[in-house]
Amino acid sequence: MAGRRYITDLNTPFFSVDEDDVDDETFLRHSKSGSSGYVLPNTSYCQEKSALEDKRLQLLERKKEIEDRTVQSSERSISLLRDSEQIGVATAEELIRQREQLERTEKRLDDINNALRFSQKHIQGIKSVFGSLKNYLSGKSGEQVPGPSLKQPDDSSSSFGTTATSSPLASTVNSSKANLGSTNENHPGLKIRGLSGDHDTWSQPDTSSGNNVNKVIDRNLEDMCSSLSRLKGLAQGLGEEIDTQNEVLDRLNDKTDKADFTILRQNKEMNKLLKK
Amino acid sequence: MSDNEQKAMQLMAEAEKKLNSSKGFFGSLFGGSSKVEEAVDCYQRAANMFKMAKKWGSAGNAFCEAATLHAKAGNKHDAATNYVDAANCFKKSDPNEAVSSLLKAIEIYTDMGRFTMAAKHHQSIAELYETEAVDLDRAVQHYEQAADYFKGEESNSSANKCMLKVAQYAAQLENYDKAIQIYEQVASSSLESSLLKYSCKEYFFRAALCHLCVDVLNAQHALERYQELYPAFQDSREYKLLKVLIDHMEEQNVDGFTEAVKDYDSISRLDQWYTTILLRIKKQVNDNPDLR
Repeated sequence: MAGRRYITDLNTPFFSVDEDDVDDETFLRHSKSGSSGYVLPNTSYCQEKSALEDKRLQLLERKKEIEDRTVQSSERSISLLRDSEQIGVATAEELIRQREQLERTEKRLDDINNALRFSQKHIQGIKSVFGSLKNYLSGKSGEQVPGPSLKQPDDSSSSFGTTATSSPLASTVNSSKANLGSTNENHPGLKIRGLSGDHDTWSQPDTSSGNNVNKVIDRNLEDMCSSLSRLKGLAQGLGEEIDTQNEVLDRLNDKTDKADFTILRQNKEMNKLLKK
Repeated sequence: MSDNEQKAMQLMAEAEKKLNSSKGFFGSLFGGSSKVEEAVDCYQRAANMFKMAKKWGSAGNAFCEAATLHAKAGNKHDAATNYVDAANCFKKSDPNEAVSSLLKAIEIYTDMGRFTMAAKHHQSIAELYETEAVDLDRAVQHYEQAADYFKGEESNSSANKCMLKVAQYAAQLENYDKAIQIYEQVASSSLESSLLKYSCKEYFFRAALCHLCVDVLNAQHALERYQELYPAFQDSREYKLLKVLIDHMEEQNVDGFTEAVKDYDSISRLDQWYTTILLRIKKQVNDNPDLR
């Protein structure tokens, strides 16, 4: 991109029209014969020509250097983008594995909380006669209800969470994939750089070697474009996954606190009972 | 740290004495269980002291003793945890001992029905065989076991991780069919998840490379199949590389092959597995001079 500007800057003052290409070839040939033909190169015209020719060669060299640098940097960027993609992919797999672990932990915590409720009932029964009466009365109704009611909102919220993630994620992935096809043509960034539609007008004043370089650069830029859109999709997916996992973690936190508190309380009650 | 070591030896001796002293009739009736618990405690403290003194072997042994006592007393959980601790200590000194402790722990866990823990330990054993006591066959076996247990517990991504390792080693040991099967299976199951979609192209690439090791025609059909399954595969560099490689292979053009691989490598590095497989494919091209 930077190289382009240099090339255009170089091109406009010195080689603005097509005819200059032809002129340059004859100019070179003419000067070669001139330098071998002219025995006494004292004329100012000859000196001027050779000075101009030196300058031209210098500028051509600089142009080549800049083109090479541009191509190399674009290739480096592509490899960097691919590396980021690989890292993103590995992170995604890790995240999904951790999500499975979190869900398992949540299920186990639910089981723990249920078991603690049972043990609470047992303790109540042991504590006193009234306690055991209370147990008998509330036993049949109390046991069934809290279990599934706690489980259901969790299951539905976790499944809602996953379906909610899958639909916006899926739609982002689909939209980014659709963009992949059309982006190469109509991306505003490309238009600004004059590379998408106006490609042909730039290619004409360049020499044939310049054309190849431009083609390589264009190809690399297209590669980078598709890599970037894939990365964008990945990043969005990762972000949403992390958000839902944050919610799961908050729920886990609450449940663990509850379980912790219940266990402490039950331990105290047991200690009291045993000392009696 | 010999101070710690001496304390640890003392504790071990104490623990053994406690065990021996509880052989009496009354001892085993009344105070037997508490003696055993105290002995276990002593063993654990001794093991911790050994760990501080960095005597991994003795620490591992102490943990093992504690674990056997727990198992006799019927505390399976504690026994298994102590076996795992022992294995951690042995990892630093003697991998084979570590493996045997982990196997004992796995037995206990599978008995209790905790397959997830058992699977994780199978994975650790496999990693040990991979790195320290290099034995690829057993590593593959343990990875397979781990994957089966994980699948049983519905942890599909952990199962996939283990299966991928199995496939990697299977391909290295020239068992291409197995590798292809595993890669295709993992890739098709990853297609359904919106996040894991992005890793599919790598799996298809690996499966196609294994196909290439066997037969070029198979590889072409496989590529078409993958294209149908996952249209975005077509735009990826991997697909382009595969097409180029297949073309060069059909023309028996070894230099073009190397050129293409070098080209791809300059953009994204190919790790050791890839280089091994690609070298094998290249040798195939060299060995089959123009059979047409």
